[in-house]
Amino acid sequence: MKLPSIAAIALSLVLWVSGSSLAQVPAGYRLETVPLPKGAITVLGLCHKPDGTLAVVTWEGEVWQHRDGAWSLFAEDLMEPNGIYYDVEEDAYYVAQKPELTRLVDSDGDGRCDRYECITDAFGITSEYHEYHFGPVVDSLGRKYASLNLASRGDFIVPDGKEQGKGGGNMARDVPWRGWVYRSDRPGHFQPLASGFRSPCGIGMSPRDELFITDNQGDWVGDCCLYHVREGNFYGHPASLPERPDFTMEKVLSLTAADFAKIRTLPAVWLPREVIANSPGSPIWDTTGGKFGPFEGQMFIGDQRQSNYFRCGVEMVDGDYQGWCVDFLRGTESGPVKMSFDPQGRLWSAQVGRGWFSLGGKRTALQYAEWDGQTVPFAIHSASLTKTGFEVTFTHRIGKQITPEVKSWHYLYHSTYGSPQEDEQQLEVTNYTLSEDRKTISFDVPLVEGGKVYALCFPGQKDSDGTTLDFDTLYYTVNKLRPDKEPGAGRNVGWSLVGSGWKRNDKRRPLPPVVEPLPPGECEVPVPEGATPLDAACWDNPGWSIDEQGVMRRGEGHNATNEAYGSARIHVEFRFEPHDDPEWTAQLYGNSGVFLMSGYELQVVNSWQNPSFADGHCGAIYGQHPPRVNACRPPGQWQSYDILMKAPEFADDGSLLEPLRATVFHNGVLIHDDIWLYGEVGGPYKAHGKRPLMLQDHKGTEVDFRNLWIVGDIDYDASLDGFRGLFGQQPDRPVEAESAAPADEQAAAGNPATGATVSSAAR
Amino acid sequence: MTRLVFFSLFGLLPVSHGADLERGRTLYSQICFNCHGPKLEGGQGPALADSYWQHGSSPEAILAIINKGVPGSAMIGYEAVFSEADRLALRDFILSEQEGQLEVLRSTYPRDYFKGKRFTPDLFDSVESLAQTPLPENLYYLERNVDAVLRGNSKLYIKKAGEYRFTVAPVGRTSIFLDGEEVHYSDEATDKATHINKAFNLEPGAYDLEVFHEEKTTHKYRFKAELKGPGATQIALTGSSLEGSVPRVIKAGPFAKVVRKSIEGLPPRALLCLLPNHVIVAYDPVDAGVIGAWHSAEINQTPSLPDRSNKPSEINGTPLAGVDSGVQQALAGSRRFQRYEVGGEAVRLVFRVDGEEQVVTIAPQGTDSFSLSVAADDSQPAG
Repeated sequence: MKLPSIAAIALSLVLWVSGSSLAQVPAGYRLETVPLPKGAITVLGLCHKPDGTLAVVTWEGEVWQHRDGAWSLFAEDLMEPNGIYYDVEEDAYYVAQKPELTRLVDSDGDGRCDRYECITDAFGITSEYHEYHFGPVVDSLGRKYASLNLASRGDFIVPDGKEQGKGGGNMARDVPWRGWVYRSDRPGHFQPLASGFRSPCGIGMSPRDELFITDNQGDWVGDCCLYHVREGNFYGHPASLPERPDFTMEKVLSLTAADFAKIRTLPAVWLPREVIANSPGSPIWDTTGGKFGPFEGQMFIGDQRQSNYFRCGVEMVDGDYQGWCVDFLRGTESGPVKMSFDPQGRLWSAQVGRGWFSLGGKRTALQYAEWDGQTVPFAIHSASLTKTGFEVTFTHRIGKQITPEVKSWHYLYHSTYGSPQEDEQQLEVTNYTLSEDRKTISFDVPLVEGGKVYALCFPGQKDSDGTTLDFDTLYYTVNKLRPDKEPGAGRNVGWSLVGSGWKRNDKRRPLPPVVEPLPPGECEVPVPEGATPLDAACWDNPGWSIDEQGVMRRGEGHNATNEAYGSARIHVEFRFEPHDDPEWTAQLYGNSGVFLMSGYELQVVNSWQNPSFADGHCGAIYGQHPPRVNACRPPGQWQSYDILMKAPEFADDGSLLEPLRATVFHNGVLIHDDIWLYGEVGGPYKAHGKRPLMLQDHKGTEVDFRNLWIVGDIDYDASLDGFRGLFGQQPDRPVEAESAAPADEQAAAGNPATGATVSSAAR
Repeated sequence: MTRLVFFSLFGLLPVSHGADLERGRTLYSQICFNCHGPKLEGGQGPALADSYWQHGSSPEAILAIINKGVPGSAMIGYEAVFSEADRLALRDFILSEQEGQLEVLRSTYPRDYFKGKRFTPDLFDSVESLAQTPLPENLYYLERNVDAVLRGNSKLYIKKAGEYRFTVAPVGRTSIFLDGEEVHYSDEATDKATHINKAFNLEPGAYDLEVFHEEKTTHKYRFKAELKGPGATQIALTGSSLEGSVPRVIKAGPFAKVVRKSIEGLPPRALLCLLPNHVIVAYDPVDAGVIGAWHSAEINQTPSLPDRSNKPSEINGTPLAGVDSGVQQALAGSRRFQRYEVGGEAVRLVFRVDGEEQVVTIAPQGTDSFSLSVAADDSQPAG
C-alpha cells in the first residue's frame, strides 16, 4: 500500500480550507475560511485595526492578532472574553470578560499585553456559567457599552405561576444588573442603561450612535429578536427588574405577564426561528461605501445555530424603529456570533458551534465574505411599510410579476420558553403595482399593529434575465402603523443624545421614578473648609432681592456670581412657593436653574406631583439627563442640591478633550452619578475657561434660594469616591403610592431607571 | 497474514527485542513515570497510553520528542542525557505499551467515483483525494455535512495475542483491510450473506490498518467501528474530535502571570497569581486580600473546555499553610481595583484607595512561598 507524500498532504490541506461545498452564497460573493492558530481555540469575537490587523478573542481566554497571514498571541488567561474593540487613539483593546470590562495595554511595545486595566466590575457575578458578558461596542464619544446575561439557574426567577422544567426553566438573577445593558464612560464608571434582556448576545452601535441588542428566544422572549435600546426602557425579561429604583423583588413576584406587558418595549424586528435565527449575534452596519455590494447602510447579523448571515433594515414609524430581516448567505462552517468589516470591506465573522448546536457543524471557524466589486446578486433589497401595505425593492428589474404570498402571526409574551407563531393567517394581497424601473413593487394587505410579523414571500420570482431569488421571503415586524404625519419630522431631527436613543425634550421618555427624599435633618452636610458662602455681595444682579434671613428670591434676568469658577463642589437650597393655580403647572411651577459655569443647567422646577417631560424634571441636566429618581419635596419645603462637578477641558484649537462631568444629590438622594454632559444647555460645547455660577430667570411661579456655597478648584476625580459617600449608602426607597404596580398605564409610563448607583457588586 | 514488527526510523530496521524493551521499561520507571505516571496514564505530563498524541504518534515523532523535548513545557530533551540506544529502547518500550490505532491519517474522496464499485485500496489510489488530515485523536470522525467517502490509514497496535474481529454499526457501507487483506465488509443494502466478517489471530505488534466508509451526508456522522479481542479487549476505531478540547494546563513560566478562571470555591473575580516558582496566590480584588495559596501548583483548564464551560477549571497543587488573609492596612478605605501588571517575576495589583494608588506586589520567595507588600505607587504608567 502506498501512503501519500507529505507534499501531497500539505497541498490538499490548503485546498481543503477553501470553502464549504454546502454554502449558499449570493452571486458575486464568496466565503473564505482562515486557518486558526493551533491549540484550544474557540473564537468568540473579533475586530480590525485600521492597518488591517485582525484581533480575535477566544472562549479559552486569549487574544490573538492576525497579520500578513501569521498569528501572534497578544494576551491570555482571561475569563471567557466575549467581544473585543480596538481603540485607535489609545492603541489598546477593550474586552468584555466575565468578571469585568478590561482594557488591554502593551506598555513596553513588545507585542504582548502587560497591563490589564479594570474599566468596570460594578456588576454582580456568581459562578453560574451562563452569566456571559458581551461587548463592548463604542459610541462616537468613545463610551463603551456591554450587556449582561442572566444566569441559567438561580434563586430569583419570575415563573409567573408556571411550573419549572418543561421546555426550559426560567433564567435567574441572583446578583445585581444581570439582564441589563450598561455604559462605561471611563475607568470606574458604570451606568446601567436598560433592563429586561435575557441572553443579549448581540450588541451593536449604529453609525448614528444608536444602540441595538439581539436577544435569544426563551422564557419571556417569544422568539429571537432585535431591539433598539433606549435609556431607561424595559425590554421584557422581568428577572432584571429589581435593580430599578421603582421595583423590589417582592414587587416583581407580585406582578403577572399582563403587568410586565404594559411597561415592556417591543422588539424592532422579530427574527423568526428556524428560518432566520435561533441564536442571533451582533449587528454590524455596512459602512463600506459600496465595497461590500449594494446593501450600504443595512445591518448584517450572523446566527449561531443557523450558520448564516442575514440582513436587517429599520425605519422610524410613529417615533419608533421597526423593520425587516431577510437571509443573505447560508452554510458558514460554524455559527457566526460577532462580525467585523476589514478595511477592504470584507465581512468577517467569529463562529462557534460549541455548547450550542450549529448547523455549520464545526466547533469553531473564522470566515469572511467578500464581494467581487461588480456582480449584483438578485435579492430582495429592502422593504418599507406604507399606510396600506408594503413596498418591496429588489436589486434587479423583475421579470414576470408574481403576487406575493403574505402570512402574518404574532408571539405570546409569557414565562414559558418561546412562543408558537400565534394566529397565523394567510392574507389577501390587493392593489399590486410595479414601479417604472421594475425594481419596486407595492401592494396592500390588511395591517394590524402591536408586534405582528408579516412574512412577504415571492416564491419563484425571477428577474428580467430569468434568475430566481436565492432567498424569497422577507419578514417585516409591524409595531406601529404609519401615522398621517411622522412626529418630529422636520424638527429636532437627529439624535442629539448620543447612545441614549432619545431626542432632547422627548416627551415619551420615561419619567424618573418617585422615591422618598432623605429627611431634612439627614440632608445637612457640614460646610467644608475653604468653602465660599455665596452671600449678597457675591451676586451681580441686584434685581434678586435678599431678605434678612438671607433668602434670595428669583428676580428679573439671570443672576451670576462675581467670581468665576471651574471644577467645584456646590451646595444650593431652594423652595417653591405653593399654589394651586392650574394655569401654572408643568414647566411653569417654580422654574429656575443652576447654571454650572454659566452654561450647563441643573434644572430647578417643582416636580412634586407636577409631571413634565423627563429631561425637564427637577434635578435634570436640562435637555440631556433626567435625574435617575424623583426625590422632590412638596412646594413650601426647602430642598437641597449637593453638586460635585468637573470643568470641561478643551484643546488649544477649541475642541473638547474632556466633557463636563457631574455627580449630584437631590435631598440626599443620588440623582446623577458621574454623568457625561453632552454640551451646554443651548448647544454644543464651546471652549471656555472658568465662568461664574449662574441662577436662571425663567417664566414661572416664585422660587427662593438660600445657603448657597461653593468650593472652587476642586480635584473632581480625587474627591468623587468620598463625595459619593456623602450621605452613606442609602438604598432607594420607592414611594409606593406614586410607583404602584403598573396596572395603571400612566404610572407605568413613568417608571424608568435612567442611571444608577455604583454599588459594590455581590459575588 | 504477515506479522509486522516495530518500525525504526524510516521503517528500515526491525528494532523489537526483549532486552531492549526491558531497558526501556527500567529507564521509564526511573525518570519518565514522575510526570507521565507509572502506567503511562499521565500526571503532570500527558498520558502516553491513550490514543491522543499531541505531537504525532509515529515512532519518529515520539523519538523526536524524547530527543528534543517540547519547548515551553516541562518536557526537556534527553539527547544529551541518554545514549542513542537508551533513547531507542525508551521509545520502543512506549510503543510496546500501545493498544489501538496510531498515526491515523484521514482522507476524503469524491463520492461519485465510487458509485457501484467495491472499496479497495487500489481503487482509492487511482483517484485524487479531496483532503488529507492527520488526526491526533487517532480515532476516526468526520465534520458534519461533509459530502465525501472516508479513507483511513493507521498503524494498529496490539498488546494481547489472540483472536480478533471487527464490529461495525450498520450504517452506509464499510470495508476494512488489515495488512492488505479484506477482513470486513458490510453495508445496509445487500444481503448480509454477502458480508465479510473474518476472525483472525494477532500477536503483539503493529499492523497496517485501512478503513473505507461511506454514508449519507447528515449533520451527524454515524460511523462506528471497534475491534474485539481476547478477554474483554475492545479497541475503538471511531470517536469524536477533541478539537479545542485537548488538555490545557496553565503552568508557571519565567514571568509571573495573572489568570482569570472560574475555580470551585473561589469568587469568580479572584486574581490567580501564578509565580515563576510554581506558587499560586489567589487574591480577591473586591475585598483586597489573599484568599488561598498553593505551591507546586498549576491550573488545569481542561474541565472547562468542552460544551458551555459549565464546569470550572481546577488548581492542582499543595495548599500553603498559614496564609494571612486580612486586608492590608494601606488598602482600608474607599477602594477600587484598578489593574494588574505582569512582565516580571512578580505581579503588581493596583488599587485606588481614597484617591491614591496603592500597589500590592506579590513575588516568589524560595521554592514554595511568596511575599506580599503594599506601597504607594511609585511609577505612574504612561497613557
